[in-house]
Amino acid sequence: MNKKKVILVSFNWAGHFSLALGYLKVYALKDGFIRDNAALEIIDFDTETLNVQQVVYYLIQSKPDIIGFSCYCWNIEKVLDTARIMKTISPELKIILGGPEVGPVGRKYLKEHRFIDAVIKGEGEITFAELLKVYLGEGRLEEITGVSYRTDDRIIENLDRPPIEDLSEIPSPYLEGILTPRDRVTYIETYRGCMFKCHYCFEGKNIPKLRFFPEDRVKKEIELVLNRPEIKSFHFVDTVFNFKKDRLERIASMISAANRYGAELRTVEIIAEFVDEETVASFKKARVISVETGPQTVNEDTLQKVNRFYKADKFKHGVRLLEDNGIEVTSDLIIGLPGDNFFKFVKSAKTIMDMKPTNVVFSILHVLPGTVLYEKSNEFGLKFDDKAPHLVLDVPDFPYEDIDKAVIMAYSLDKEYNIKPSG
Amino acid sequence: MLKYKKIFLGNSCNNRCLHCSYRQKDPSSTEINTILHSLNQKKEENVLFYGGEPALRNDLFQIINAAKENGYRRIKLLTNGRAFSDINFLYQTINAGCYLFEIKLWGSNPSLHDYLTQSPNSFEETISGLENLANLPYDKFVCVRIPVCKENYADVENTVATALNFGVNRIILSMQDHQLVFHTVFSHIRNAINISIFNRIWVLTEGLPFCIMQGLEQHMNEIYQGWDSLYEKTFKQHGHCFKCVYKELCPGVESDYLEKHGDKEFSSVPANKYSRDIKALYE
Repeated sequence: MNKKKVILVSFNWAGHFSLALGYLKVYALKDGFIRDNAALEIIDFDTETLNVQQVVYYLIQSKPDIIGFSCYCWNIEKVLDTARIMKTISPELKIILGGPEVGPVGRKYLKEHRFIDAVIKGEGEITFAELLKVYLGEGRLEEITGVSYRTDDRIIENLDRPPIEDLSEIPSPYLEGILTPRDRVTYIETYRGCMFKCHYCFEGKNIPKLRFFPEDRVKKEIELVLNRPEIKSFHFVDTVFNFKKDRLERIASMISAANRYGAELRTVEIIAEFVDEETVASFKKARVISVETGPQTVNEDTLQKVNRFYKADKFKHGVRLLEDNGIEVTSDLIIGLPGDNFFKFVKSAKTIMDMKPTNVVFSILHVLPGTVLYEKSNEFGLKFDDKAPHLVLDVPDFPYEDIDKAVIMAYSLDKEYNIKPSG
Repeated sequence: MLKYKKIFLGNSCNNRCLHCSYRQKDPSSTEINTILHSLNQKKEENVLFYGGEPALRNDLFQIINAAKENGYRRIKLLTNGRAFSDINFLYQTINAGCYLFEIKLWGSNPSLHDYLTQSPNSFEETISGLENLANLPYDKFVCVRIPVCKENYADVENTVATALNFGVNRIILSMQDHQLVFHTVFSHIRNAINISIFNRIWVLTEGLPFCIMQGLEQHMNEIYQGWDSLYEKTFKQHGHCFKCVYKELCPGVESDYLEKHGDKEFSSVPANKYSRDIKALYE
């Protein structure tokens, strides 16, 4: 029997690969009907080096029946171009989109782009598998929660699907051999959700409850990754790696016990305010080389408006403790948050630079679909470009010209502050 | 915004700039031991070497190296850039550990620049130095400092455009001449700012008070660095300062300028929606 060809596509930066697509595939393959009727393949394209023509040329060779795209604000343009061309060449092809860029605004994407058949909203594993089964001939679209789709020229939005309560339902893409760990671009996820609910962020609002992968499974993933001598560094994608000290210490011990080749842990997201001597000791045990943290702004009014946690003294103490112990800190600041203006942004930059973290990263606010800022932009008086990457354009007291100037100043400051000796 | 420990390397220079305070003085060179001692007293993360012309010192690489050894994270050189027309010298500077440069450019053409530096061929060498820096395959930070005076103020837009050709990371427009009335130069400064911003390069002014810069305060280097200057300056407040919202922050105008031109062109800045946030930058 001929299996339908299903390709899961992601456009990534700098050699990264998609963990999300690994989850989709490994979960879908739990289902016997899917295994019998579909051949699933993941393709990670480098968005920097490949153009749409090259991607289409590659995809055409595989003669896909269904393509699922992983969509973020940084790759949606290429996704749409690729999907449109593929659908024009093969009108029978089913195009499924998922990911934070499209999920919260599925109707909008379906309305504006007739070549899209369905958009998955929220966590995709179960929804994708059920959708796949419908396209393979089993089940009904109307019965699948968490999907928006097109039928008879109408756009239907089914009910939302609640987040997956028990993450052990999702097998590990590493342990099942779906994803192969690679140096510098291997990510482990130990939990989903975020303890914070920042209004500019997708994570806390849309994945409200913290849910954990079983620790024995995390341990096995760590052992598998660290058993490979070519892995010199790897990452965790957890929203706050250090949110609980005892848990951090357990994970650090797992890493330490398995780390026979001395792999380093780079750029884990942390909350600097939670860092104390014990945290540093756990980080050292886990061979954490660098961490990334906020605070995005130090302005009280802005912090309150965007519901961001920041305790100045504890943050400063955490940064110093880390830096003094040889762990590089990257501190992030956002330009254009509601409540800020040019000079308040300068104050944030000044305050953070005075703390002397290794790096300071400036970024302009992206008003992302699914965030509180996106949904309540009128209340916040925010104007933004609704086309991805959804850059903020105007904020009360932070007009377009000032935002633009702040961005230009930040380029210059970034160059001066973050300069590194060559070679 | 970043603070640098400033170390004077002596006033010897291969330019003889018309507006330089060291022009009439005998050449001097700060003792190497004094410099090394100063580097040992490490209170700042960054260090700036200035002169005179630092690149004239035979022991420059030793000094940069000592700064590196002492753990200074950013080592910056304030220079006329002429020495960097020699690519080997530039490589040696980089290899010694200096990646940040502030280069003085007096004009957009040889006749103006060389006239102001009183040094034939200086424009060509400075431009060649900037070109070498631009082509250098290393991470570096280049700021072009344009001193503004009565001879070059009408050329400041062109000078900015010239600097932009070399992929610089920042431009500073620094008032350098008491003869020049602020209101005469301001339209050129505003144009120069617009040209630079249009080209996506950050630009700062120095020596222009709040009342002149109203609406363009973002570009005042003084809100990032304060009013400290490398060279000795005496400021004085005037009649309008007393009602100004920035009277506690702004030292006023240089005394020599006030003596020559009076305070008619100035005004008190009223409180506005940003003044509190600007003040907060000084806390």
